[in-house]
Amino acid sequence: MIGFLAGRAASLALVLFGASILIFLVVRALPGDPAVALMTQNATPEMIAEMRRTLGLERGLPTQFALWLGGALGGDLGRSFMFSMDVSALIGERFPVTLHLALTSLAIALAIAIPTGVLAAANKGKALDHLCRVVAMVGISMPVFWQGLLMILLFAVTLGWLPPGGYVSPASGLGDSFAHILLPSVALGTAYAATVMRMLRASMLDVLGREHIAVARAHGIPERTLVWRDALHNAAIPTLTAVGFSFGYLLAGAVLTEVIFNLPGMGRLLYESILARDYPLVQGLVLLNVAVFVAINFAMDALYVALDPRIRR
Amino acid sequence: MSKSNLGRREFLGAAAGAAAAGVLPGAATAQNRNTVTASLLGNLPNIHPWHVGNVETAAANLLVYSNLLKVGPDGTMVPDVAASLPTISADGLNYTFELRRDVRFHNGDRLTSEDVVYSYDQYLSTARRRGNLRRFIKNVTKDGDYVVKVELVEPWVGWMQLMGYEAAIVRRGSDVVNEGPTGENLYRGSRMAGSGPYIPTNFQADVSAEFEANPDYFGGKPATQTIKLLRIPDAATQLANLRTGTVDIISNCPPKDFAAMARTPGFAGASRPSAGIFYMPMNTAKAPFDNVHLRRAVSCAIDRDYICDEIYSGLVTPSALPAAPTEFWYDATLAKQLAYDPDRARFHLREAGMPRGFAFEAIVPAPSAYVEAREAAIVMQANLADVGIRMNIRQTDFVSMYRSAQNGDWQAFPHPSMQSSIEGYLIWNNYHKDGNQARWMGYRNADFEAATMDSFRYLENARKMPGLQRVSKILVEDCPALWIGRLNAYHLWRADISGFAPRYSHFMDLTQVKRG
Amino acid sequence: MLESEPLFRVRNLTTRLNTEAGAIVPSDSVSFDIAAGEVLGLVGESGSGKSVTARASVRLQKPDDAIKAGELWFAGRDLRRLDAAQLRELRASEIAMIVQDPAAALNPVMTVGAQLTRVAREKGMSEQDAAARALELLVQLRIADPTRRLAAYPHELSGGMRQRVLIALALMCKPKLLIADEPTTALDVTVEADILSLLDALRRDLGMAMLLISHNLSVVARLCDRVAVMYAGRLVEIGPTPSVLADPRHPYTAALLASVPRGAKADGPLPAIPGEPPDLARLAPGCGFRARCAQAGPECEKPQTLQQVGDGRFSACWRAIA
Repeated sequence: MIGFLAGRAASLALVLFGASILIFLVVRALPGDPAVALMTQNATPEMIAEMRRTLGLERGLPTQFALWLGGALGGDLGRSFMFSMDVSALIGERFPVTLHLALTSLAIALAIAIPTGVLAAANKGKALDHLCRVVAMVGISMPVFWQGLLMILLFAVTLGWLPPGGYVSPASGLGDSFAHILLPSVALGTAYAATVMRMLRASMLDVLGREHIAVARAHGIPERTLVWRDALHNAAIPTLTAVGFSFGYLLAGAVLTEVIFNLPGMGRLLYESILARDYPLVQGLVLLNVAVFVAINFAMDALYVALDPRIRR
Repeated sequence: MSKSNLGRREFLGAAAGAAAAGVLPGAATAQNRNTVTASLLGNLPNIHPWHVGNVETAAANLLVYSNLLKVGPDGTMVPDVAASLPTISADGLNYTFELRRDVRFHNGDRLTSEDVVYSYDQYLSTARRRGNLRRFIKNVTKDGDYVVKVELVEPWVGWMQLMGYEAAIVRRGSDVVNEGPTGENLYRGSRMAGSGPYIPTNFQADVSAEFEANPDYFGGKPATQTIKLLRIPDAATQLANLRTGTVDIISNCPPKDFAAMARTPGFAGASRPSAGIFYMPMNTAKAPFDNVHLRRAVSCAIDRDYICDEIYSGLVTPSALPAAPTEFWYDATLAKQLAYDPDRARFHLREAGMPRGFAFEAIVPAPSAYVEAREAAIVMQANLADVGIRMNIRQTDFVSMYRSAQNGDWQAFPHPSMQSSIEGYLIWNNYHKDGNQARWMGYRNADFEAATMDSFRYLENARKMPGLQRVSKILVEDCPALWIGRLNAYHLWRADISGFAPRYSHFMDLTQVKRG
Repeated sequence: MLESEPLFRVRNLTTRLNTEAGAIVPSDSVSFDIAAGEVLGLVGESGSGKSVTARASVRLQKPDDAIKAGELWFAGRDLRRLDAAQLRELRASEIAMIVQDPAAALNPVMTVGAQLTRVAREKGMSEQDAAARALELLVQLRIADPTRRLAAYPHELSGGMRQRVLIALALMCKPKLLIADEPTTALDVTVEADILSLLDALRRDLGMAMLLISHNLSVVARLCDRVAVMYAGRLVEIGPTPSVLADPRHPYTAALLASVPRGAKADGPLPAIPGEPPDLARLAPGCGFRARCAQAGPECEKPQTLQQVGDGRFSACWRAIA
């Protein structure tokens, strides 16, 4: 097990290194000059040249890369052009927001997807199944921002039950924090629930049709145990991949949700850093995204091991 | 992004209808009576004395800093730390400012001519936009503690307008460097550098800023104790926040919702033409727009009223000239020559020897605070097609677009642009050989340059007129751009807010805002 | 055979399944009896409806409404009148099942021990008793190192071992009737022989009746007291195994026997009989076999029913009856 973990850690480091080179080059391949982005249209070429020197952009690419990587290894991701702030400090401010949103959305998604997916499969072809499928279809088809706006209009504007947006950290009051994160998490979580529910339903149907379910049934195992234990456990394994990757996307930042609900998270920051050609910030954020995906992969491997005895050795 | 913006706006249009049908403003969150919250659409990366270029940074800057003069709501200059408007020498080169004697910085230091000289020296050597001013300002000197003299290289009254929002006075010794410290840093410890009505107490880049009233403000203690700026990067969400009462004033709302919301009981709103312009520069140095008839053909083919009313819901004031119809230098007779008239467009096409039209590429920036730029471009495309001109749209972001522009790799570029002043700045910046954008606009005309510099000598409208009349005439003859209209500044607020109105400069001035 | 009420009596069982190709009738008026402790073989080609018929006879076929008609008497109770809870009472303790593919028949994410014991736990047995019973069965089934096997997952066992576990699962609560659906088809020959003798020995010990579904006539010959031959959803012949194998009274039974290579050990699947089995979705009245039958005549187009043709023997061919 320790060997397995060490191997994974080594491959993680390798992936991150490869990704860092790619990120560095791709960011610089973006058309447009960060100096221009910072100076607006009124800058003269001389001023732009001076700004490029200030930003360290006149150095050769290998030098720039070496400086960046050296810093990154020590936890210093450089300084954002746009915010004149350390990238790691900015990420430190923003990542908790995105993580909070992603976790709450995931919880809501699973709370919806697991019962509906299981019940739809267990009642295949019946009214409940059709209802679940229609709701899932609507959930998938409805754009998150649209659903978000509808919910803001209903719950914040018309009913006045919940705030229309903004972020309050759990540290400054759990209730207030929850009230603020609830609507965006529901908007994001329901869309995501629909995907997971469909995946789970399909896996459940597959498993419920398998012989071991029939055999267990033939030996008096109650239907509820068959569905919620035997079938769900088996169906969870293929569904886990979908859940894991969706969670990765959630952590990479849900730009539209963050914009609509005014959450200062990673998605919004990445979007704006790209527009501003804020190289250090884009690099830092993308590198973090890669790290998050690698970490999720790692976590999923661990979960597979826990769920599926067949890959334990 | 722009596509979703579109959907969102249409949806909000419907929602605003629902609101008008009787949904009352939601239960307002219990707001401190002594706090006013305003929301901003764009990024607020810092609170900087000199890096001001949009509504967001300007709103913070105006609260914290003072300038020699400031731009009044209608665009005229009014004294700020200067006791009155400057006296200007007959040759238009020497300006003398008498300073108020009761101005103190937030740390208690008295503001003197020393601070003004320090600020201008620093600004002119480090600020991002200093190029505009360095060309004109020869030197800034003090004459005693409360008199400042500014000597120009060439006459230009427009510099004061730029100064009015851009070059704030900071306490001497404040290390305001361009790339390093944010405005926030100026407010750490005892380094408080401004003298404005509010002192920043809390700042989170891109999220929010909070300000407390400066009890010793030279204009008197502000009526509102606390002002909060909240960034809400979506116009529809801003509107929702206004309706729930989490914010009192919003910088933007979807244009379609503006009128209905301003009429809704419990809310108020206003709009006015600003120094912003929606126009399409054409590259006169390059085919096809090196032919003036083709430029005029384009100008005459565009139905400005439709674009301004239908796409911008009346929040762009149509004009075929840089001047708005309500401004003193607008000339209706000249405007007719470039106004919407498909027959005239066809005439120019024939004159150019291209009776069946031609094709060009328009670079449309996206996303933009004015998301409608893309839809407006589509209407233009249809207008032009009516006379046989094909406009191919290439969508890109502002940074890529400026790169194309600076490489001369462009034909036409329809976009909204914020300026400090149209007659005091834009005409020079775009078309005078020394103007920064003129480098890539491609237009050169010595008569135009002379006329511009002539109008720059005077502060009074009447004396500016002869020069500006010549400017307008030449611009209409040469038609280096398609002028569509003047952007309006428009804001919505809750009805219990007063002391706030949209301004010529487009910037939100919250210094006088209060409840009741 | 036995004069008294048999343990299991199936009368006119008819099932219908909706498939993509249309509705099919895997069991068409099927009737048979199994006495306590008796082994009935059910033979026929693949797709003849054996498996559906067997499962439906104990209401294990899904969906449950596949059963369209018939009576299913087990130990004096009509299974068709029992509700889900009552049926579940019978499972494992009265009726159990073994299936063909032991790899698919065990839950891959549960230990063997857990799967075995929970069957007994459902019947109210204590955890310790259930564990002891499971261990005892693994020992009886000659599984080496049984304690360790109980903690193992199915994928950690060989195919033969998995089939033994499956047998153990069926025998956990000492049922009176075992449905064995091709229990050794997936195994290789040596293991098959081993497991069949073990199964037969344990069955005798328990006095358990068995419905053995197979297409392997040598297995049937070895284990079954009586044999029922199924073709296209219908029983065409039924009778004591030795006499049916020695003297078939239906052309299909004869064809089946003829297709087993003479003298060779018949352990593989049945060699092909010329012609195609009929499409269960498009079955006409009359003898289903007539299209492939060398002796077919106009009479064969009339509906054929099982008729007694000798001592305990029944055939559905008019020639045998006549």
